[in-house]
Amino acid sequence: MAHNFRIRLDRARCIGAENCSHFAPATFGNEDGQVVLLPEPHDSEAQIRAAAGACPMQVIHLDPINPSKDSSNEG
Amino acid sequence: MKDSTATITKAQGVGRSDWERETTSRTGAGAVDDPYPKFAELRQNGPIHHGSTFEIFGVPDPTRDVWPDAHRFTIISFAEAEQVLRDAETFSNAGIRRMTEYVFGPVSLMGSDDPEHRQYRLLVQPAFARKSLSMWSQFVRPRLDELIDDFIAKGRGDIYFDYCAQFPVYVIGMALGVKREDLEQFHEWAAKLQVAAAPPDEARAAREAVHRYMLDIVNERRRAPRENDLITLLVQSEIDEGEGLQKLSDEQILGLISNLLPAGAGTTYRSLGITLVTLLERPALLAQVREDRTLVPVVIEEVLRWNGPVLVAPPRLATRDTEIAGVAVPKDSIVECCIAAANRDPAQFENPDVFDPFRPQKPTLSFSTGPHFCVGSQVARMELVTALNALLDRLPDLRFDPDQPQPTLTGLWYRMPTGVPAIWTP
Ligand code: HEM
Ligand code: SF4
Repeated sequence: MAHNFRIRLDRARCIGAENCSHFAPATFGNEDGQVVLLPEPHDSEAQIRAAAGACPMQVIHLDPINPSKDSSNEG
Repeated sequence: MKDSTATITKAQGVGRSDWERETTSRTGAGAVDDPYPKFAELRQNGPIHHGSTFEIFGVPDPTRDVWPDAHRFTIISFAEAEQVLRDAETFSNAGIRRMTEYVFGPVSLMGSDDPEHRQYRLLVQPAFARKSLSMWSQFVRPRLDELIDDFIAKGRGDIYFDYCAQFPVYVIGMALGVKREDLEQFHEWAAKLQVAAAPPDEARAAREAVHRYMLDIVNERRRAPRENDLITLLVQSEIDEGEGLQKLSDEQILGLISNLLPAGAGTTYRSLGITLVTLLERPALLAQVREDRTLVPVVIEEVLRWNGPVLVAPPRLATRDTEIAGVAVPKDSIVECCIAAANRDPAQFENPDVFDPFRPQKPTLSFSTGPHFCVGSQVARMELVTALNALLDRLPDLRFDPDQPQPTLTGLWYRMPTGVPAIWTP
């Protein structure tokens, strides 16, 4: 799903509580006890925003994509 | 401990009505039924209130002796509660260690700070991960069906005491490898291992008994590891955060175990009880949920927001002079983040006092936030979903018993229903 933000994970802070996967199960997974971005995320923007807000460690950042400035970020 | 199991009457077990009443009255059950109007009133004066939750409601504070002279504050807004819970450096769990040492022991997850806490937490978290849920869930539905088999023919009963309260301790016990014949004993220990529930010396004795019992199992699993087994996973867990391989010590495993009982049993069965009262009061919604089971987790999440089982996060201790929303908070103050008030903050939720499972999904503080975020939230959610589904499957026309008084929700630190008297067609 095309969203106008890019998901950035600050994995070093992750405690593997998987609250993100509770809110957006098709976007966030877990590998070796820490969050990973799933290959074809397809949750709604509301779900992903809820996941980011619910992460107890603020691991999940949603950086706005500004196509005029930086097109290499998309995808 | 062999003979003593025979002498333990069922009425002493955790969640039996008399035990529940006695222990939870110390933490405000019966004294405070609806704390929410008071929080709404206090919110008019800002996000932080001078005084503890107990003081707000004029209930004697069972933890007062631990810090007789400390300044106490209660946070009632979502944003500030989140700020405090995330800032573990300024708001330490060292106070909790002192308040709960008799229950959790000297090594505890809830009572530790970074860097010790982070390492401990990373080592134990895999035991609660979605991937490991079958270590817990394998015991859940069979236990629920066994309980229902026991009472279904009667057509009526109090399913708070006979159903809700009868499975979380059992599931934790089975997951830890407690032998079936020792489960009744384990229930009794668990009942004493609640903060501010049993007198401290009884709690301490229960903790020591659990540690002795579990140390044998830990040693056994080190010798002979088992498949899909929680203690095996814990003894084998290791992390490398750049300082070489770290493993859990026996003390850390035992500390986690004595943390699990107070943190994971009452919270879960009280949530289920509150969920049942909420649904039975709303027959149309109950019918809708019975037909569309995708609503089960949604209803549970909204119950946790609207009337969750944990009113305040474990109190934090200020490590330095600081400020919250412009209010000076001196070093060594006790700060209580009121989860219940934050979850009804109109700045975070529209019409916060309305129970509405169809509201837009938003983060809540039901399982807290920050580094101490509930380690068992996935286990809790799985248990609650399974337990509600099992009732809907097997007692489809469940309704309140018209011959019994309607239950109320009550409690301050721990929230719960007074019971769930119900009838059904056997
Ligand atoms: C609906 C059920 C539950 C609720 C509402 C709940 C809520 C909470 C809350 C509010 C905390 C305090 C976090 C803090 O200090 O800020 C906590 C911590 C904890 N919970 Fe739960 N809990 C539930 C079920 C469980 C279950 C089922 C388990 C284990 C099987 C569990 C294990 C723990 C542990 C070990 C901690 C301490 C974590 C730490 O300090 O790092 N909880 N929980
Ligand atoms: S919710 Fe946050 S801390 Fe937990 S697994 Fe997801 S990213 Fe990690």
